[in-house]
Amino acid sequence: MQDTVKAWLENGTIDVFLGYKKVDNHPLPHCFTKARLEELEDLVVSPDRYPLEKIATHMTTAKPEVKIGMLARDCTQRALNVLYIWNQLDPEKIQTLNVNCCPSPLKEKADCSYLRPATVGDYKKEKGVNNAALLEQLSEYGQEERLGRWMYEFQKCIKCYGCRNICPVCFCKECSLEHEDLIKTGALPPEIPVFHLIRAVHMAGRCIDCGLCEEACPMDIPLRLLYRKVNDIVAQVFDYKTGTSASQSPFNILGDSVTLEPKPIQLTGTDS
Amino acid sequence: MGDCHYLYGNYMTIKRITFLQELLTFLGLEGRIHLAWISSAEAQKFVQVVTDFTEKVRALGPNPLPTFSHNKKAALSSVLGRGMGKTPGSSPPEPALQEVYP
Amino acid sequence: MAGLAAAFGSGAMTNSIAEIEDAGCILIIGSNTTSCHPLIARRVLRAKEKGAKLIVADPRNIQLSRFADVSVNHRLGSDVALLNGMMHLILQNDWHAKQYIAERTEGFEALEETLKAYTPEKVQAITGVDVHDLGKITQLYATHPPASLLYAMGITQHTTGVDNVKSCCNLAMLCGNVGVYGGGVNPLRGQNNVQGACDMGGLPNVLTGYQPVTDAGVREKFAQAWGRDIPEKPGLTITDMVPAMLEGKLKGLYVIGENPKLSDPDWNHLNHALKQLDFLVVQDLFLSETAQVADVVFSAASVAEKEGTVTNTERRCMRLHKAVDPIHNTLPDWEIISRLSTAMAYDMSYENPEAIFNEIASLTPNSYAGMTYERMGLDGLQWPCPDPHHPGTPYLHKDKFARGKGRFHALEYQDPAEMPDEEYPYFLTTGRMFAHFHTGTMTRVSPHLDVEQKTGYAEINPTDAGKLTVNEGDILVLSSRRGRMEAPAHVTESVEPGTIFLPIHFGENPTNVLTDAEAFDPLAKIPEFKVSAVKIEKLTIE
Ligand code: SF4
Ligand code: SF4
Repeated sequence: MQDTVKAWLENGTIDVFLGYKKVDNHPLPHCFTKARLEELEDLVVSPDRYPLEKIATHMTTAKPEVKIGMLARDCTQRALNVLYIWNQLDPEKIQTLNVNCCPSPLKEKADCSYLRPATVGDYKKEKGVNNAALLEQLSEYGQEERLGRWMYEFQKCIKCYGCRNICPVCFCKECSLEHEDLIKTGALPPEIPVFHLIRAVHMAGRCIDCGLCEEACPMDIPLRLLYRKVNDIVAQVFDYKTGTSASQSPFNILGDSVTLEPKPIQLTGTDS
Repeated sequence: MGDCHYLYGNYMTIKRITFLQELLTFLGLEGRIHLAWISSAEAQKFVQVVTDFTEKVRALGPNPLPTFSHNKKAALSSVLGRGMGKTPGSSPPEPALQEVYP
Repeated sequence: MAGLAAAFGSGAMTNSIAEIEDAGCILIIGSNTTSCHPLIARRVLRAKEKGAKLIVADPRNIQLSRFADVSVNHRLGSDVALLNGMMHLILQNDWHAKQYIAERTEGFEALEETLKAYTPEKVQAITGVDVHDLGKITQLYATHPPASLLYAMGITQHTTGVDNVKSCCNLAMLCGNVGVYGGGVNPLRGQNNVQGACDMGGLPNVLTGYQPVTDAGVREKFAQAWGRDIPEKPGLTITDMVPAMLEGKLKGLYVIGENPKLSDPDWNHLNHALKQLDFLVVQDLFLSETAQVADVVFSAASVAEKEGTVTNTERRCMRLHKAVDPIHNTLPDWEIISRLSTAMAYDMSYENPEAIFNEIASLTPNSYAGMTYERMGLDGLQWPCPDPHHPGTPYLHKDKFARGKGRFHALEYQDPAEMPDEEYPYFLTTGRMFAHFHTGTMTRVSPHLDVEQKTGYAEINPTDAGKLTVNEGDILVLSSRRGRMEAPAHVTESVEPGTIFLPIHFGENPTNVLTDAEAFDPLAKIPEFKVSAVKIEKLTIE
């Protein structure tokens, strides 16, 4: 790994390399350069994750010509695909060094949500939404209970914007979450569920299920589960599998043909 | 379908509305959003749809969201209390606090 | 801090932040944790979700009240009565830790005597807390060990601030909750380095590590190290400085990174005092309200532009790493002070912050002696760390209190200095909101935070708003015996009827026009920001 990166930096394939450096036993994201090749000795693959591709987006905004290399897991690749599609990064200027995806005790091909099985206590079981739940499990609850459980989770929110700030595919210059007319300002918890719903809707066609938002959320709100549902609907309704390829056009989402029909109003009982 | 003034505007709309319907259902707010195609010539249909939908929303009862909006514990527990209890794997209900006073 | 030191012998959070997660019960009193210490609120909720009991006692309804097993709104300033009432019930139900009390504490009999009078009925009369709720919170606290008690400014900023803290200590010791993992009495400090600033002797009466200046041996040690005699009389607290300025005894003031024009009680009084000064220097990164009236203003290196250490609320000393070079010609604080001192004929020269830190360690035997930059690494070390092999101390008073035995203080409830009356019928309390920090010098210039709340406001209960026919956004005129201010109304159930809440961050709506400089704790000299009496009117334009 060190050798490849060294060669890339030396022969000009890339100008900088984004990886992790071990500092006092903590892997921290670090930008390795040709000027300081000796630092490559501390280059590590980290079990802790940071959105390296987001750092690359920021770099590119500041300096469009810079060629960037980075360590890439599966989720990094998916994020890059989305960023290429949305013209935030130029595939010509990105080199990835693929590393084994997070090894997991539960699944062979890793799914990072299983890396650290969340400890879910009794109170959360009773009132909230289990972070490790599968989408289908939620349908065991009735409408009213589901609303109560999600609202319990949302009420914990401290509006820290951690979920947005860490998200590799959140790149808008002006964020709707900070728009006074959409979300009432000045209160904790923020206006719910609107705050979380706006973010969820905006993740349609973008979220690549890396789980960083949930890891970042100080209040352990099951954000990943919510965005999984978003992706699930996007796949069903728009036939769009987010992040799987860099060529699929996002304009699928607009679409010029459709097979859906408006649903009838059902006066009794619950729909679907 | 397809005879939208804005070309494929209604294709886009139905996808978005379907998306929103699904998402709101997932959260537990089912049935509070509706889409129908009504042309400017279909006054009768318009009246019918609005009447039906109004009736449906009335049947659903008041918007449950305001109950969560103030920092009163009572509000939270009253809503959480309803419809709960058949939680898979939930712990047995706690014994009520014994009265220590007087 | 004075209260904690008197009870335990050490004025700091007894336990670590991470331990809160493993508490059996958490009592939060006088702290709006999600707004002011969100990452501690995270631990509280985790504990709760794991099954801990949560009790919130606050005059306001805060975000955490929603999650509490029991939350009570005791009347502003009635903390001692509430805590005494809890202890009364603990003794009555025989829930106290008898062996612990006998072996590790002193002064229990006097407390027991005082508590007899605090029957639930009496406490209900003072605090407004229903006797049944009092019973419930007492039972939860006493029967779910280890119980952790968290408090913040809502306890300390009172004329009875020290008594309030001592009462918290009494309660914790009564149930044997001090010196155990996951328990303790935990003051949440406001800034990343308030604990550090106090540890460094940034108080008028102590040198580093709370070594009193009145102790000749301590003075001798520092005189040796510094080559100068150390004054034996304590200096002035900020509360003493204002009268000294007015009397002309204090002629020059050098303010480093503070904004007393907003953060000190009684704005009119302070303004008058500042005008008496011959010379006012303000060192601040931003042109604060105080800087605007100074004779000399200059900037300094910001947090990202300097090296050094900070000690946070859980006594953890951590290194700051310089990320960028200072812009223009600003200097880090230590260099400014060194140069100033050298110019004033005491040659202070250090090579770098590490040299200063090593001097601190060498002069602070118990708490910092074992720390070095190298040992701290990224995670830091928690004091006391007396020798180079000591791993640091996650929780204090494990087998023995710092002062030997834990001391109970028998305390009677006292009314706040000012209670509502016919003329000024409303309670006024002040505090913070989540988007802004202190006087807002830093946060109000950030567009992301400014958008959350651009102006000051006054929280008022819908019942009161109804009586005054006030709607959201109407301008309220608030007046106290000291002054008068205007603020838009925010109608909310966060405050109980009869109470007005004002956030302190906003210079154009300075809350300290209303608060009282004469009312402060006699020992800690902390002003009573949390309780005053006001009257309110709706502003009508004629
Ligand atoms: S999982 Fe979260 S952080 Fe990752 S892409 Fe989706 S929304 Fe963004
Ligand atoms: S990270 Fe969590 S607490 Fe922070 S804004 Fe997002 S949902 Fe809210």
